[in-house]
Amino acid sequence: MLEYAWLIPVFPFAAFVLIGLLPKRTLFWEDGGGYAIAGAAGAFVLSMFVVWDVINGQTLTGADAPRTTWLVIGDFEVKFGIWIDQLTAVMLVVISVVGTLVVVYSGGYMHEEGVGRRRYYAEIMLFISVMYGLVIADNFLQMFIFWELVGLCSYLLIGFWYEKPSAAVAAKRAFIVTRVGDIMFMAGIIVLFKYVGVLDFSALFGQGSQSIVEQGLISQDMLTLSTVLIFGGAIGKSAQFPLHEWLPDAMEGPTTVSALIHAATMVKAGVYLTARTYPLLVQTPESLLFVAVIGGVTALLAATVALASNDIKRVLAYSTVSQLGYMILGLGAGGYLVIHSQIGGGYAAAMFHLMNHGFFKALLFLCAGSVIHAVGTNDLRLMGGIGKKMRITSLMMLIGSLAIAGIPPLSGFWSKDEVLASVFDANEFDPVFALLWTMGVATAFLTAFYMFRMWFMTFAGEPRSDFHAHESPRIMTVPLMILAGLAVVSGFALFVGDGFKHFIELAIEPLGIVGEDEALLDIAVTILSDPLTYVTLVLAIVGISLAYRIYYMPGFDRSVFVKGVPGAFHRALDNRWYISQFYDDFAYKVVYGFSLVADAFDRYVIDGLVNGIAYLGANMGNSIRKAQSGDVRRYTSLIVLGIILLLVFMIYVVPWARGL
Amino acid sequence: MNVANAMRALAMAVLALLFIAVLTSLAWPEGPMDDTTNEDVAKTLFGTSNSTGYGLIVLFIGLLLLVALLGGIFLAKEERE
Amino acid sequence: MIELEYWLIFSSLLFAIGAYGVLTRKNAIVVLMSIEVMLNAANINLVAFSSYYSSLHPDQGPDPSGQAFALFSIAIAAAEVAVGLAILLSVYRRYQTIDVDKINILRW
Repeated sequence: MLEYAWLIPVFPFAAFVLIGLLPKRTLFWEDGGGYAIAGAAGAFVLSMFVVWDVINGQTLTGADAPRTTWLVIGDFEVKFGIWIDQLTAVMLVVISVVGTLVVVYSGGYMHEEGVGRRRYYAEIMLFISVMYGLVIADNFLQMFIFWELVGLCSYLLIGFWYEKPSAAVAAKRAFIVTRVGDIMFMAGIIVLFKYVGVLDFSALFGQGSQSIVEQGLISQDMLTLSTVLIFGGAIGKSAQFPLHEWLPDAMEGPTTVSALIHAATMVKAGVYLTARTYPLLVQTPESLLFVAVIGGVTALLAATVALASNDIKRVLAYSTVSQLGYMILGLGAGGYLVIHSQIGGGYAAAMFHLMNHGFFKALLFLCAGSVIHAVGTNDLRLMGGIGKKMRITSLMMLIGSLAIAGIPPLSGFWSKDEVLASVFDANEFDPVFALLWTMGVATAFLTAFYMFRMWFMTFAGEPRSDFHAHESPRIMTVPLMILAGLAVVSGFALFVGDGFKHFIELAIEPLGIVGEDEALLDIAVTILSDPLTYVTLVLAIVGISLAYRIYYMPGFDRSVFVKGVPGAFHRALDNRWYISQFYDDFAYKVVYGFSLVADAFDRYVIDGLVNGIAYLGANMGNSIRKAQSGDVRRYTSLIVLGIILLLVFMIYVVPWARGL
Repeated sequence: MNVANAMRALAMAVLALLFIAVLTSLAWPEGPMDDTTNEDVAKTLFGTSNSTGYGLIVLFIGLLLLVALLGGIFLAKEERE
Repeated sequence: MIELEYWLIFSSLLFAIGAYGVLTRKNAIVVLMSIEVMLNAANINLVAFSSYYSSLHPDQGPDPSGQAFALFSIAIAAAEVAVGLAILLSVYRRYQTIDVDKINILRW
């Protein structure tokens, strides 16, 4: 069945083509929604078959994978193919489940959209198909192509309501910022290609334990450079610091888009890329450190900004950035663990968190979508008391918030703890990880706090403004319930079958992991008996209670936060640590300044040169015309003088020159 | 005679001296002058039964002269009322 | 018998005198006359070389071609003077003068 994995992207792509091209009459239900659900469901079914095969131990990697020739330039060939391993399987699970559920949900959410609906479904289908394509790619070039396509779809979907100027600006911004990351990715690929000559995963990831550095193909420095650059692409796509600003602004798109793209799939592409290049990353500890630091910094930074945000979707967006930071941090720390102690802890933890986060973040976004759909506003300050009228949504969102805050036995608890544990373990190899661990713990506290701030402000208490909230139709609530169920149980994947950890560690087995033969129950015991676990759990509970105290119980004067020292802090958070402003300032001063210099150069030097030559010609003509004096005698004198000179020259100079 | 004319006269003198200097530096052959009669000249101009001579050229030159004279007459004419 | 050399010296002196006349004189008709003088100097050259042909080319007989060319030259000189005088007449009609220094309209 694995050889048919290339069909997975074909289903949604066919849906895309059909929705785009068929005449309006044949689009039936919801302007193409039917085709969309069919396409997504088809891909889902096929993905499940593939995942089942992978769980049973089959993979399609390396030389035995089918390949087709994509590009031939003389002797140089580029081949495309598919690469299925445990990592791909995890991604397939996330994409297929979340994608299908989001498309079903869109059936209800986009009901009143009108003309744009068809475009919406077509673009969503295109996005899902290229996302699948990205995760089954087997060489960097193919992945890069799909990477760019994913960015394109993101642009199209963020700017779905393109008549709104803020949406158009946000779409442009998303594309340009991710482009910066993409350029770095491309540069990394080019460096690799220059030295190694191939971009196939099977060739790059070495045969057995002999790395490509050992094969003498590439120097250690160049490899570090290329891995850092490739990670740069991940920074862009996964909205890590310093390229994180596009994600909060990307909330201008429809909520389903935010749920699908900016919570569950596209932003995970960066994490996927980093995980996929693990065999290269583990050869360059410096890049791993860089990866971990970026992840940790982003996690904390985004969590702080989420504290001050008043837009329900923005809070979720920042929380996404923060959780992605967790994943990246986990990968970085895990790399150190792989190098030094041969265990795959961090890698497994990060990917586990990826899967769980996909489920509960999509759940949170879709719930937010229901709320916005019912209430008509995004602003938290105008909400309140919705819980009485939208019981199902309120309960689902509560489940999602508990999951992300890390309360057992929901999934977030297990994966967050695994990540933080591996970061803590890595600190024995490099003390920076201790700092990153504290950042991670602080982030966990903040996460709990701001998520429940959001929940309390939205669903509890008294309504702060006039709106008619009603529960959403079943087509929207059923996906919510499915996702909530997944958010609850996906944590237990650690304990099912061989355990998630063993499963995913098989993907990096060639790197020489010594599998810890933990019995599954031991894993649970380890986690529950580790004092660090309780540290984060206690902090999470403290966070929730603080939010309860501040935002639910009456009598707390919240204005204390905006005055004085906390006030300055609050303002900084409100302005997102002034990062956006810094970028704008920089662009204006530096780039615009540079363009002014270039303009001056063009105008004075280049035009001056051209004009100067013309001026020279005209002036020369002007001076020489004075020779035409009209005086005949002068003319004849000059003629005679010329003759004399010529004669002298010919008679005396030429024989003398000949004699030399 | 002003300065300019004096300069020109000097230039001409230089030219003449140049010519003379060149001519005297060459070796001219000794020999008597040829005794060519008018008949011989006429023979080269108009040709004999053995050679054509320059008859055609004479005609063209005559044509040229005719045209020149006619042109001159035209140019010299007074404007009529 | 006058040597060839002396004829040639004579013609070059005559040429120089004619050139002096062209350069120096103010009256346009006198300039034309000086041109005639220069043409005559060239003619003398032609005839001189033609007369000493058999000395210059020892293996050939006398060749009166030079004298024939001299005839041509005279004819052309005549035509040229005719045209020149006609032009001068037009110029006089227009500018009321034939002083070469005063006829300098064809300038910048």
